[in-house]
Amino acid sequence: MLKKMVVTVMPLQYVKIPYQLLKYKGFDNKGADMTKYVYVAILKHRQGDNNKVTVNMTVLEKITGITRTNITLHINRLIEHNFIDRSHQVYGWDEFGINTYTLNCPEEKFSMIPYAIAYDMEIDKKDVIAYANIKRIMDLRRTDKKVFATKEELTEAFQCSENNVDKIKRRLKEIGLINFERKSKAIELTWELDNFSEVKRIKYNRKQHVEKTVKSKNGKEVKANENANIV
Amino acid sequence: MRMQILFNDTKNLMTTTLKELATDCGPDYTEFEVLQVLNEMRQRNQIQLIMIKQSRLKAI
Repeated sequence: MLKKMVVTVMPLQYVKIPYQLLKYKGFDNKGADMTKYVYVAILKHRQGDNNKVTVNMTVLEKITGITRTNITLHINRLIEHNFIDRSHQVYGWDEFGINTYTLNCPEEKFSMIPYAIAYDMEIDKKDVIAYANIKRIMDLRRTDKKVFATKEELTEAFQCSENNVDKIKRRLKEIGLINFERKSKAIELTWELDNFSEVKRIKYNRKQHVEKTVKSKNGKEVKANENANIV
Repeated sequence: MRMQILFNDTKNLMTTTLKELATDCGPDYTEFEVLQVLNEMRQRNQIQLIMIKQSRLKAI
């Protein structure tokens, strides 16, 4: 089971995965999801909307969990299909391996995936991409936290066989990301629904506490002639 | 910044700072959080906020 996110007052942080990348079918079927995930891994170190991302190979290794050689292969594939550009930055022997990537992928439309899901080491990288695809379908249908999708649509979106669609859905359900019933087209994004409302509840409680404290001052510290000092 | 809060229901006036209010709320509350709530209260017409300029502070 996926560990429940440590709830803080900070809102959930999201990574934006472009639709263009998610629905792209040009990569080889073998490892296409991993190639897409390497792009997501690069996005983690993006600052704001800056198109240039500087990231170390070792960091990418940690995020993706695959070897340096494989990452280079996937990055080369991304460059080949014009999703990113790469430029080396070699200042000294200790900084070897730091690259600057320029993101070329159009980003008008994107899926928003919480960091806690996108960069969790326990979740299979294929499942992250599948989850992003579910969110893409959800966004296109303009529904909130619930989506109705047939098996054919999911096969098309995941770019895999019908049997694999069932496997992926079952895996996502086991981890606790989604929920669905047999013979039903509805998929519910349970994890986000739970955590989103939890964060909202905590924020609301804190606001109430501050308001209470301010109101408790009412009538306590009244001073005469203070109006004279008002600017 | 030093400020005065006027409670609309009782017409009471109090002088305070964001820092003081944040400390009163608890150790992990920030000044920004307090300011947000104050703004919301102002929009709901519960209070009025009056900021005091630094130059005037010397005179007080």
